[in-house]
Amino acid sequence: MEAALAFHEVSKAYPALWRRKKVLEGLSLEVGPGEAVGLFGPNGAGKSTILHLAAGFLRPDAGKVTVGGASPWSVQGRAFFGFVPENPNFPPGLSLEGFLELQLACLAPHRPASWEQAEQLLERLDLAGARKRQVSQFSRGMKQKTALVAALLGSPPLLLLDEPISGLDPQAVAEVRQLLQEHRARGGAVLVSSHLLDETAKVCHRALFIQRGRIVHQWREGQEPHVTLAVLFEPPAPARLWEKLAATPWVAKVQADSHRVTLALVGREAISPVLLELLQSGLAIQGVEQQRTSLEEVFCEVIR
Amino acid sequence: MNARVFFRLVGLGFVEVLRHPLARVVLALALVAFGVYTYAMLDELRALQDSPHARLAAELLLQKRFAVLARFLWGLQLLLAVPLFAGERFTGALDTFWVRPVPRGLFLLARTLGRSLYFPLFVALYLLGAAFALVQHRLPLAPLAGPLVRHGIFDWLAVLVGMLLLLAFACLSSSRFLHALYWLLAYFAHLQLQVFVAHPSPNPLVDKAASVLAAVWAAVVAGASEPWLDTYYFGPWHLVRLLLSLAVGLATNAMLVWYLAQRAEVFHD
Repeated sequence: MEAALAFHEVSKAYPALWRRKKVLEGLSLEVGPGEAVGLFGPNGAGKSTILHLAAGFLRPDAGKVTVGGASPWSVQGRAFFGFVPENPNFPPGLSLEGFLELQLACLAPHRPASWEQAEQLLERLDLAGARKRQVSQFSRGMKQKTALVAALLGSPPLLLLDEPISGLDPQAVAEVRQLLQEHRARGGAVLVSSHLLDETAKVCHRALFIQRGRIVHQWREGQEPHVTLAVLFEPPAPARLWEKLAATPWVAKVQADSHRVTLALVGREAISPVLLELLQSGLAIQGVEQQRTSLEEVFCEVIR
Repeated sequence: MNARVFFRLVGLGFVEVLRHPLARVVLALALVAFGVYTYAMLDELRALQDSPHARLAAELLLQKRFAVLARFLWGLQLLLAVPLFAGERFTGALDTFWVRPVPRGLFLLARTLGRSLYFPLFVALYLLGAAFALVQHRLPLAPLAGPLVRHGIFDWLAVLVGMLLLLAFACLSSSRFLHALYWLLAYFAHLQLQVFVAHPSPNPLVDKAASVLAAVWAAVVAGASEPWLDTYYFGPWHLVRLLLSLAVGLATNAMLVWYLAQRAEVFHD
């Protein structure tokens, strides 16, 4: 099946006064139909550049970008995706209604969309009351929602979202999440960049951690990078127990103090043998709890 | 893209310029200046009331005024060009249309056309001011036709084509440094042209041809019109120098255009 979005060995550098500044180097990635992929990375890592290349704002210096098998510079390619920029700007002098009418007219022959769909999206994102207002004078959150409505018109097979939930209130964030899940359920693909990692991960199958224009780590839905167990015990702990545990293939990291030890395990399959080891060592266990590793923690670990 | 969408985008391009505070200041200054100019013209025309050759006198006065105004227009255009070309960031207002499945050539053309409508707006304001002055003093409106044909149609067409080209290249380019360089070169080329052309020629055809060429040159290289050139005449030597200047300018222009075309893209962030 044709990938909704494909980058093949893409490099991009921006012009600077003396020499070009490299932003992406030999980047390859694919987003399949029905798949949602998050792009995470520090500021300046190249996330927006990836989205701008996918949306056809930029041309790659080397490599190839395709959306639905077509170039994002072709009319056919641009009919394939909806795009939400990081800071949506809207032309002055247009009401929300006028803006959406013009968007519908632009989409008309290639990706037909109805006014009814626009109305539904306005209702769901709580913008229905602002139809007559000037879209350029909206607050940041309202602009973000308007850009999302415009991107979703005609139900494009691919959504390219640059920080779509920053500046939104919690209710709107929940609604956006719901819309994206519905989009995914219809077989639509999403590439989303965000600094709100755990919130974004709720709609993603996969997350790519980008640093200096390269993918440095990948996370998949349901895949815990580490299973962390916190064990409370009655001191003292048996001598050299922590060193012995750290030397086993099950434990990635041990952090212990007088009453508590935190064990980063390599996977769920490591839980039983590690607990067995603790019991057999004679440790007086008072409690065990499993801690989920947040993507923020993974981010801090991976991006150095 | 149908005609309705095209003209809506032209309108958006026109309004888009006003997003930049400097553009608003320039436009406000232009309106004030036109008011002052009209007042000054009314004042001077009072002296023509009893002249036996009022029509001729009014035309001469208009020509004289037109030359002054044209220099003033150039300044305004240069000022207006600063936000237009140096500050690409503010043009992000039409991003949401750029990613739509509309032909990008037509999109750029519509946007460019909208942005370049300020020049005819200035000309229209000038003509309104002049007509108002003539009507106030019960002088015939016919003198307006002369400058309109001489300065309005030929130069405006050249300006329109030039500005469309220049703006399209500016829209396609991503480098603010190149924009700045382009404008610097264009400004010096423009000054050079002003120095070169200031002597009369006995042949009106040569005058007209040189005038149109000069207007095209000024429009393509500097992105501005020079209607005042038509009120001067060119000698053969100056024509040679003009052509030389044109060749150098067009070569520079072609190199820049080639360079921009090599790396044409739109930069939005």
